[in-house]
Amino acid sequence: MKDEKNNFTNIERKVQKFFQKQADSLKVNKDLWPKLESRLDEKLKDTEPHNTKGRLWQWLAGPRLIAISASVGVVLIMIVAGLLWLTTNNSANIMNNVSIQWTSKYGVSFSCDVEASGLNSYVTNFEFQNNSGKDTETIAPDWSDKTNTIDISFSQ
Amino acid sequence: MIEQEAVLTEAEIIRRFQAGDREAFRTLVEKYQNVLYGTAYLMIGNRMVAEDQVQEAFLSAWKGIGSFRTGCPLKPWLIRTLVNKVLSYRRANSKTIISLDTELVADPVAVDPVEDIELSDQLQRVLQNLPEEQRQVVLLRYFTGLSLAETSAAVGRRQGTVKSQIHRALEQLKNLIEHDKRQ
Repeated sequence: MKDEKNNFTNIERKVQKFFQKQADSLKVNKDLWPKLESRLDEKLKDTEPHNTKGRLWQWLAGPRLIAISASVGVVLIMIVAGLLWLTTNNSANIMNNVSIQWTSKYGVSFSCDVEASGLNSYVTNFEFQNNSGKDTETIAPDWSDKTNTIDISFSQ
Repeated sequence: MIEQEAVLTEAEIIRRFQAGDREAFRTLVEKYQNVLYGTAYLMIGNRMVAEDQVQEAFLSAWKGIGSFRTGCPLKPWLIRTLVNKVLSYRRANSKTIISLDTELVADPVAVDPVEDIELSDQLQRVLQNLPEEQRQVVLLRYFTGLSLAETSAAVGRRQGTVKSQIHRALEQLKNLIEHDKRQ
């Protein structure tokens, strides 16, 4: 058993020695790099981007410092798209318009709609009603003046 | 500048290569061109075709270095790229390949002692008569110097299969040498 193993190691050593001698005699031509470089230039010239799509594709497929796998890239894109959607669409729909309604125990009520745009808020609708049985009154402010103020006072 | 290049580790050269540095690429080409060429030549048996396949493999490496995992050894990755190129070439040109034996006889290995010449002849004969798959793994293991795992990754076969193929090849070689001794 031991002899057989030794025989095998000997054969392995002989094969390695044989190949080592082959390796010494198998040297590539010295002009490999110049040839390779000109082929590389040719390839780069062929794939030179002519439009934005080509440039983007080259950037995606080309070598980079940190390799990003395709699946990780897709997940990242989905996360960014999701965040953008949440911070633009939803906030605009939910947060930009506010309706306020108030009714007093004396039968006086008013309602108003407020719209937020950027850092400013505007009153877009205002209704005041006196339902005490005597008068019904609707106040329509001057909407062209965005800085208007409304004073409401009650008297019995 | 040259001194700076000399002290750069392979990992640093690979990092530069990944960033698109052509000089770093050249350094790696010059380091591995002979082992790639030898492997290609022993697989194909034609110097011009072997050199062409080496160039193809390096061009693929330039294109695909972005997918190379930093920290892994580069040589097995390059050899795998080369083996894929050579196998594709062989599939496409199966009828026009010059056999390995004619080329090897034309370029005999320089050896000194008579015993070595005999052994060399025996080995050459056995290697040429090995089945293609066995010859590939013996070549990658003992000429290219890949480990079993690297050889198995390079040829796309299971490690156990590669191990038994190498074992069978060495067994044949041993039998032939013993047979020659008896005669």
